[in-house]
Amino acid sequence: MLVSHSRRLAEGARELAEQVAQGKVAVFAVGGLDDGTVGTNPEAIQSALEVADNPAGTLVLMDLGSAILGAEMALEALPEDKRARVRLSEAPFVEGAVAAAAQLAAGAPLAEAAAEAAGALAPKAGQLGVVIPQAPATVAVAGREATVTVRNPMGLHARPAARFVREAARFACDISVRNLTRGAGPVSAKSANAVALLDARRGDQIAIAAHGAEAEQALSALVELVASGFGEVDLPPPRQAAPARLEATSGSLAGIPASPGYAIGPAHLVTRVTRPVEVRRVDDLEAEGRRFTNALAAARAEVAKLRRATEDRLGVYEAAIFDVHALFLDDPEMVIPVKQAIAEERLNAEAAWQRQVELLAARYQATDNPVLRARAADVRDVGARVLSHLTEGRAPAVVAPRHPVVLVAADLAPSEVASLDPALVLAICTASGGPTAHAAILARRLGVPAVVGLGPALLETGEGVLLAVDGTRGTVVVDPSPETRTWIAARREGWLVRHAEAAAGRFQPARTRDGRRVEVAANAGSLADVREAVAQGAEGIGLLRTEFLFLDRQSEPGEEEQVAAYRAIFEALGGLAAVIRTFDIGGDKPVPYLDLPKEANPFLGQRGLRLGLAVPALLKSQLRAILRAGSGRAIRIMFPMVTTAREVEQARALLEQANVELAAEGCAAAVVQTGAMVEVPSLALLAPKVTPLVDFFSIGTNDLAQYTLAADRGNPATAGLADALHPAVLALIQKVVEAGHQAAKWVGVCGEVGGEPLAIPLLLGLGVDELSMNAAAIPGAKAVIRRLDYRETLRLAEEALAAEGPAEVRALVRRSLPWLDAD
Amino acid sequence: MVITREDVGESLRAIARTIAENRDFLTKLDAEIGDADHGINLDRGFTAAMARLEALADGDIGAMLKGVGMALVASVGGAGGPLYGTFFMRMGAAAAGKGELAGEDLVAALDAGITGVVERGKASRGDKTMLDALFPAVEALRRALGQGDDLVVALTRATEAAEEGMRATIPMKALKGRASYLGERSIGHQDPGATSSYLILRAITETVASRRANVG
Repeated sequence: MLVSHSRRLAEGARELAEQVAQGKVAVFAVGGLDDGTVGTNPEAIQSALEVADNPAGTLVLMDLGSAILGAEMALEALPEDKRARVRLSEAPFVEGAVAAAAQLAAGAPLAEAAAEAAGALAPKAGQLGVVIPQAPATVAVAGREATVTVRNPMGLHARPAARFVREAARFACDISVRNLTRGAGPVSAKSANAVALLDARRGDQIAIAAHGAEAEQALSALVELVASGFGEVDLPPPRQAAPARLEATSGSLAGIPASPGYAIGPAHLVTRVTRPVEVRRVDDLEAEGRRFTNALAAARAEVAKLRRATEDRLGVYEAAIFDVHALFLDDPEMVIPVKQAIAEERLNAEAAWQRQVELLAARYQATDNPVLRARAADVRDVGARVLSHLTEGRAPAVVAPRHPVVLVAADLAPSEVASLDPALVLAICTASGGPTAHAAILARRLGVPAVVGLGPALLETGEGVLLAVDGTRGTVVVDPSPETRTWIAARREGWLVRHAEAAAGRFQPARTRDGRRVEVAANAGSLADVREAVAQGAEGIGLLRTEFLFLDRQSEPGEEEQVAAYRAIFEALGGLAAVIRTFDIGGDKPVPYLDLPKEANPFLGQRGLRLGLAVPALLKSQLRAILRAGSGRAIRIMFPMVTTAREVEQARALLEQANVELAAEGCAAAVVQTGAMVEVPSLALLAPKVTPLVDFFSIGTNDLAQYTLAADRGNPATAGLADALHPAVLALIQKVVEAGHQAAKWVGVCGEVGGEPLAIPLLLGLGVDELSMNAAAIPGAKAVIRRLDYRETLRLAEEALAAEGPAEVRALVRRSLPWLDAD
Repeated sequence: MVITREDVGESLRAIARTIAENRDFLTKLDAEIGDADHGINLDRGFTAAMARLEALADGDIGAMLKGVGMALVASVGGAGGPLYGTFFMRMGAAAAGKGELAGEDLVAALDAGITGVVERGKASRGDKTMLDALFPAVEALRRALGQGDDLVVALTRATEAAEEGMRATIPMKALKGRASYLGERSIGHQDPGATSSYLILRAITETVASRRANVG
């Protein structure tokens, strides 16, 4: 019986099956609804099954979706005796129908025909030269178990665990491992984390069990691997304390971490021959204009292609970067001055274009906003593409190394990064650039480690010289020592495995092993950030900085403009919640339209909510815009830099005013939670006084550390002091959590430490409910939480509170959870 | 406060109206990640179910729900047929012979319906399906009733939870149904099944609330 959504497909498949059945097999086709539309009617299947019922049985093949559900329902509705004679087949619809019909016509029993149908893709795969994974059920082998002693010095940890898991993954059978010596497990041999957590050390006995196809081969391969000590037995034992980071030596370069991960490989220098653009006087103005238009059109087509390719490879949000490029190509500010220069100055197209590109790029570069500054690279990227068409008549060459390399360049354009093959590019190192550049975002999505801003010294690296890259911390070692090579290679293997696992689990909520749920949210400062946050698995936005609406402009943003911006963000978030922080301007950030007095000490001056309350009209217009955009939704509003309860009262009064006004204007209310951002120690100390006024607290650990320790993070001489893991800061966090929880209010952390693997266990142990971090850190942070034991973090936090300083705190965490440092 | 036979009849009619009103919206959602027929299918199903309901005007609540479920199974066409069909039929079985439902009866019936959907679709929470609206809804209902909330308040909480659950399907990757063929690209779209489940709960809540308001 052939069951399809489409009657015509069912009939067509029956036609094919009947050709081989030669009248010896009854073939039924059921499909579509009574009125001829596509769909499945379980009642029709049921009556067909009743009619078809025969002593030899009925084999049912289904296409998909409701055909399967409908067949299952129909089967359940049959009387017991008839039901026993029906077999639902997982076989491919058309191939299975033909195979089953042929078998049945040849006199095979139903079970045999069913098995043949299930394997019916094999002939096609063979013809096409494709290997299909063997169904484990076909070669059932009884389970077996083998015992082996771990011999390698590292034990079954990061790198060996990864190799063990990779080896196990080669086999289709179920494989589990137990640590007999420590009584841990069994766990699946296909999870690197689980295997590593067995904590099998040198000398421990482990038992490996395999069930299913190839169980024997799997066992002998794994036993052999463990018994051989993973080939590392003869290496010298590791030093007592493995280096926590790449040593700062004469050969090491410090840059800005732009994409986490580790790599080692030969340098490949991307040099661009930047010949000066020829400047000439043109006679045929019309031809020159046409040449320019053609080059724009060619560039436009390429950008569209790149956009599609990026969407296929990385996703729609990453591809949107190239929408920006397409916009540049159509931007009158780019195009019209070039046409004018051709027509009026009789300037050749390339010179006119180059001049305009540089002008626009320089304007971006001159802004104070790092996000906007990073757009200069996009302008130049598009600029180079058009120029290449004008001068060479073809697209710019793509970076295509022939073997795996570490790319070294002054800077890389977004389109260059998007076209890279991660199999051939182990890492990216650039002399300039910043972590918010589109190239950096693309590198993160490609999973290629990257360090930017390494300075011009980087470019002196010779072609082929070995580079060890730590994209997590932003360090590059030129020509590393053998110890560094071993260290980085081990890190890389562990990281690759964890990266894949973390990425796969990023959309699942994070729970500790003993079941405590921690919300993992993202910090964002733009719509693009919000989109990246959703793509990285954020469960919400824990801190939406709204300064992008207020800085780098001559006049204050209008309410309508703000409503549109917040609405776009809510829409990008779907149903996810966002904590919107009211503007945190003032201090050192210039705001021309506010005419703020120059302050001697801006960080202790009128910033955050202090400024907001000083310009209540501006704050109220922001609150109105947020409420309007959030009309009918649940929204969270947070006030920055709160020092006293009085400030929160005043801010809430403004919010209430805004609410009343909007209600009078007929705007549907939003469900609002209000919160205070904890950055000032006084607020942490007096949190119980503020809890009745708020629904939540979110701790800004960067500023809280600076204010608690009276140390500027931007001053190299004091930066080391302003450490959020200082026990004094941890004690303040604890106070806020206690005050919040006593009044059933939630407490989050939205500082940089929120996404730092070493800090996560401490914050959990202090009782923090939500961690908000850079989007890129989310998959990794969730993976860390899943490996933690909440009860253990409680104990750890208690010890950390009693520690002397941040160095002791970090050492304590490293000691208690050595695997944390293994990435 | 209890839910009467009349409440159930009116609610079912309100569901049919809501589905008809949102037919194009649901189909549009389905067009983004599925096969563009969810609204059309459910509308066809509930139209058929209303005809069946007329014939059951004298039956108990269980019979009404079961009749609607059977009509959906036979007429929806898509996977929504077996799934919503099972949902209503199991609810009907749980409410068999009853002329009215107290809060705990309603929770028990919804539990039975959801269990049916899980068994039928082999889906779990987080797979971007109707279950992502139904599970939070029944949890909220149970919680609210446990706190002693009035039935209308509890239903409102359930509907809010369903809506939240529905929106939470946007960033999810579909793991079941036609949308799962899209893999990562199903991310960013609201699940049509969760949406129709929310609409169904909303219709029930609005009906019960307005009938109470009219009475009291």
